[in-house]
Amino acid sequence: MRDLTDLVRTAEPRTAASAPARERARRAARDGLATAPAHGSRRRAARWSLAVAGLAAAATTAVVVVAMLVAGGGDPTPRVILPGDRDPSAAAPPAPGTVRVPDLVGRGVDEARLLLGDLGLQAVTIVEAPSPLGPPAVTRQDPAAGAEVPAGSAVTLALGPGREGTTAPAFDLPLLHAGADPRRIDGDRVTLDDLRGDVIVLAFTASWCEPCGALAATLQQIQADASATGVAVVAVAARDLRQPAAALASPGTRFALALDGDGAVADAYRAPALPVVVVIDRAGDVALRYEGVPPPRALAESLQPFIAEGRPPGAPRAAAPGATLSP
Amino acid sequence: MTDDDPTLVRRALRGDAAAADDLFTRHFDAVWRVAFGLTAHRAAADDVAQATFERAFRSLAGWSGEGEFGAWLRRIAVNQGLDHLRRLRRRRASETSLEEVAADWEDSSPHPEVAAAIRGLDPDRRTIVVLHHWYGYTLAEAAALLGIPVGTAQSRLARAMRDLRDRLGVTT
Repeated sequence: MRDLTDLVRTAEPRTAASAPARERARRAARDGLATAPAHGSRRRAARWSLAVAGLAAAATTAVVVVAMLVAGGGDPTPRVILPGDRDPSAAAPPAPGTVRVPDLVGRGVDEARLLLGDLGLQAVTIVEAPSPLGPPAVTRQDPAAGAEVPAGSAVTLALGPGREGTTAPAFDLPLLHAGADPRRIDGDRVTLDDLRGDVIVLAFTASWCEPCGALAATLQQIQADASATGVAVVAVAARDLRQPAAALASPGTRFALALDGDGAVADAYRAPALPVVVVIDRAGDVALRYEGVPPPRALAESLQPFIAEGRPPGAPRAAAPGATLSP
Repeated sequence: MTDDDPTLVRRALRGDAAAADDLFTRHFDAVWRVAFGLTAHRAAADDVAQATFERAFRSLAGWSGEGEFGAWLRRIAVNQGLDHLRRLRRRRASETSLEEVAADWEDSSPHPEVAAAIRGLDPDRRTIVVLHHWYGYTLAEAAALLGIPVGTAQSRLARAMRDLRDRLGVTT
């Protein structure tokens, strides 16, 4: 009998792509090259000649966190303040073992992550406020474009508003747990219209998402502190075949829990990786967006300006805590 | 087509479309195989391979020129494939989509029953088996690609091999 490892090693399927799939990929390659930064060739040629020279790399890894400048400001234009900014094409080639940081400002966050990943660099993102719905774009980066860093270094990306609008997409989801705020979250469904006029904290989560556990405690605290001031906290759970999503709530859970069975709402809010927390202001616009677990106090404090905003005219309700509106 | 990869890359970056085409032709099959191995799904492999080449050729200037160009491409393909699996996991659609492709996966394997057992593994375990045993990544490299500790990669691989042994009734 052959060794299992041998069997496994030789069991790889020996099939190939179809001709149409190959041609699609070929066109994608051409498109990719056509949209590549124009300064590549000079840099490339110079780098090869330097690789021959065999210069040693300076192996210092410095992760500098960019100070956030625009948070809460009214000016939507990102201000970029970077050390050592220069034209990458004019710079000397990087030493072996180092990588030139690409210019990521203006690119979408997913694209920026991929570009960094392709270069063997890590992305550290800081999501700024105010940030609308939609794929955030890089507003600043550190180190700057053109800087040489050791392979594997981290590049800090400040993320600001993307190109899309800010109106929160409507949702209508089955409710798994109503929470402790019965003013409008009751019955068996929860919709955006039900909650309009409140500051809404939508937390995209899942029972299989380990970091989301820390988020639950934060949501619990926020709902406990803020339900009297018109804040609705709704955890939106992805489906999990192994464990019912309802397990994310217990009888004492104060926030509401809804099930996004097919992931459509997470898609509409662009929450591909969990957790994502979105804050919707009283006017129904996406005001803040956190990717990953926000620090508990940061999330609570970031709600304050939106709580302070008055309820817009025509908002459906001004019920006292504890009152029930639904029929 | 005797130019080596670095020469072709250099020419492609200067705007030589034929050089870019040669690079594509030379490496497409290997990239697609990686994509198919990770996704276990033909349509997904097509998508992953396409995204890989678009990304790779857009950032062609970012290849360090050290190491093999093919290895750089495959690493991008692995990252794209893992991204695909993460998206799939969130949707929990893998159960149905994997069934559709079973025949394609198994019939082209020299050991259909082993391929079927690998396909049936938990996706995390299948991924580590595929990265390590098919594409030759060390456990440390695979762990880095997956963003998990090496110990976790080791235990996943051990569990995967135990699962396979149970399913196949192999004694070693």
